[in-house]
Amino acid sequence: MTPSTEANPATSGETPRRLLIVSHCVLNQNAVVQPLARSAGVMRSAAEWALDAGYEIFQLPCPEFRFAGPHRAGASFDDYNTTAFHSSNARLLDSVIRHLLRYREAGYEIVGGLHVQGSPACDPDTGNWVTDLLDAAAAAGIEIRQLWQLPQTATGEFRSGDSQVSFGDPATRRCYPDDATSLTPAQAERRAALAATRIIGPTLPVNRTGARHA
Amino acid sequence: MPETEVDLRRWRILLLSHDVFTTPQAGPVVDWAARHDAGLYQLPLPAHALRPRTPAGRSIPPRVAELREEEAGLGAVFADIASYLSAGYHLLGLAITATTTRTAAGRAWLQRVRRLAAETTGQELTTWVLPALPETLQP
Repeated sequence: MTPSTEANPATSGETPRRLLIVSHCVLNQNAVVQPLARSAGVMRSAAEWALDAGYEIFQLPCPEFRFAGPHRAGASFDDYNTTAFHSSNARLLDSVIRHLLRYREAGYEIVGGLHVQGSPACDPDTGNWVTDLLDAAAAAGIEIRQLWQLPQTATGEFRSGDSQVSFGDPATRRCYPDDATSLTPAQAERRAALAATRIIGPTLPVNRTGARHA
Repeated sequence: MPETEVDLRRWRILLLSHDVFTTPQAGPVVDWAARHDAGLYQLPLPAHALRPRTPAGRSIPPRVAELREEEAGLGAVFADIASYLSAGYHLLGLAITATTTRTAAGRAWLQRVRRLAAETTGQELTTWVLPALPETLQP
């Protein structure tokens, strides 16, 4: 194969390029469980916010669609907190992480993630998929310092500057809903450790989810 | 999550090459998708993209294992698309950047994508090179 002579896109410009990791359905509402779609296809305000901010977009696969297909029923954190779902996530993340590393090695700054408040998989606070993603990213040395979210509103309108759309530092995530009933012993231990950290740690601005279940 | 009273989906999906969202074409594509009620589905990073460089600045070609990984990633996407099609959705096509077809590696990637699309969905993948996207669409 002939090597490409195309300039490296991330390092040829004056400013470093910034990559935003985006939950699949932010760009493709066809993937969500019905009747939860909040637009005909793309969530325009969120996509335009990301582009206006100068972020380039890395769209994640939809873990629920890959696991259960287009006709799946609405589900809760506990419904998806299964070995089978986490194993499916691990298979997806193997490729996702390798791609993110390629972006980073090409000079991109990975600025954070844009996820979906209230989703059992993609809620930035307690979503199963987001937890698996952040764990895999950390294990690979990818630091993610900021999360945003489509707000849990009827329209999902993403208003720049609205405190509701900024989740904050992922280090403050609870990882598991307070009413979760499916935690493994290791997850319960982690939840307790996270809770202890929050009690003795500084107060950080975090916008948490009200209702947990989609 | 809040439920809506009606199904807002319009059952349309447009595939994008990974680099659409790294170019100035991204804004117009989002606008187009919003006006045409389409969801956007970004294809995974091709094996030839964002390659490590030689000291002379030339990109190092992908290894066989990386091409296999690319094929597996595309295969998973088109398995999703086949599920969508069987559920009644419409695949509008694939939008790519002009950069894609400027290199031999990009053209070979496009051939692989179109072959996989045909094999898994049974339909020929309509392809547009941005900024060209059709103003009118068949439902």
